[in-house]
Amino acid sequence: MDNGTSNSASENETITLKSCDGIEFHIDARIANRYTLLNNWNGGESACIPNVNGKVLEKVLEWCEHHINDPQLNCGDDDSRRRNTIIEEWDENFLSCDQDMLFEIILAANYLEIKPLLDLGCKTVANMMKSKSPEEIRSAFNIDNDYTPEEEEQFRKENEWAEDY
Amino acid sequence: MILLPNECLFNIFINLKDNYKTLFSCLLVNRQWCRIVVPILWSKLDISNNLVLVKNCLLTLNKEEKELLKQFEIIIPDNPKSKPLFEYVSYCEVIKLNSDNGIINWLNYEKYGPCDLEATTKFGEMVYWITHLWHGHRDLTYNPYSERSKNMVKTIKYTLIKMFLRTKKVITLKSFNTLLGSEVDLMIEAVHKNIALKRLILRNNQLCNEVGEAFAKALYNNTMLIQLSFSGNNLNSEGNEINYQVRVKLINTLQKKKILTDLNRNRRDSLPCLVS
Repeated sequence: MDNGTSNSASENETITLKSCDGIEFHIDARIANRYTLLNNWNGGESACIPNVNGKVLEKVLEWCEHHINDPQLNCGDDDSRRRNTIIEEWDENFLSCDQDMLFEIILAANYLEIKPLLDLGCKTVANMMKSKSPEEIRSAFNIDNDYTPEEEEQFRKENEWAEDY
Repeated sequence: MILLPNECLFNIFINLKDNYKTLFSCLLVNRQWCRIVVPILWSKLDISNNLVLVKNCLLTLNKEEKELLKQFEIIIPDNPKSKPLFEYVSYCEVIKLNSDNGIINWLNYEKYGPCDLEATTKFGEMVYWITHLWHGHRDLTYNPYSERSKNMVKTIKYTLIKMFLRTKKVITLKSFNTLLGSEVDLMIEAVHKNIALKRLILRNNQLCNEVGEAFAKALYNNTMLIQLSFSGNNLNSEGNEINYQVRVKLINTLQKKKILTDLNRNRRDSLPCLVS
């Protein structure tokens, strides 16, 4: 049974990954084996991961290393993984970084197809929105309102049932 | 804010799919968020007590369905000005209607309702029963409205089910109370005619022999349905066991249907409920 520890790479084997700004990371080969895209870029000394800078890649790899022995989930487990709203303490501390870093991690996890980290990041952002008004969300995430006042009013009217659902 | 692509935003909002209040806030943040949130917010609706949702659903009726309401002088406008900004109902996949209160409230709000129409409250129901028993009536069905009012509510419910069965590929009808003969006909028609209908989930409804029999017939001819879930339905709504022969007929039909690959896979209680 594949429980995430049966990768072909041995414990002592390491590989080198390079971020887009040229920072090298020597990681346990089992991590790369676990996530296809990390493995694909392990193409020798000059291989680098485009789009992910050293600061972000360091965080992503730190997370992967901590979770190296987690059981691997199948695609069909997507729903059950999402339904689980509990965030472990280590993960919570890991993601209590500044907002830009949190979003960079989500982008990198999405790009590198590290689904459990992507879900974790998204769950954290969703929790930050809970019980907030539209204005509070806009100011928390620095988002501009591009509605016309009339449009916003009509959307409010058409969907206000959800407020007391 | 660092811009996130739509797929990441979807991943964020899906975590809030049961938190309608927060989804409502997200929808009003900006246009991009709105486009992603609306399909999630409207995917599962309980229209039992909500006149706004009933109104939105009624706006989706086609000409033929609207025609059915004209006998009660109910006119559903198709003037574009009254159309909502999104075709919200098109995103709805699960519909729940276990009380007529939403329909009654809508009728009263639009001033269509005769004066005896009033949404059911627990207190009202209790008063009705006490008065009823006081006068020596043994019939305990709560039915305080006039025939015309009842027909009006029944017809609206009928048109809504008709519209859902016509337009959806995946339909979950949950807790619809007792399905009437005319509603059963609709189901059969949908199983026959809605070639887009791939999944039909009937859960927690009060069904009777008639439904079982009708389904057996309709399913026999249907070639498109790949999922049918029949779980949690009470098959003896009138206090009688569902007819043994009907049960056998239904089971035999279902067993012969090779295309039906997913039958009650998620719940074990439903088929035994038919078999036992």
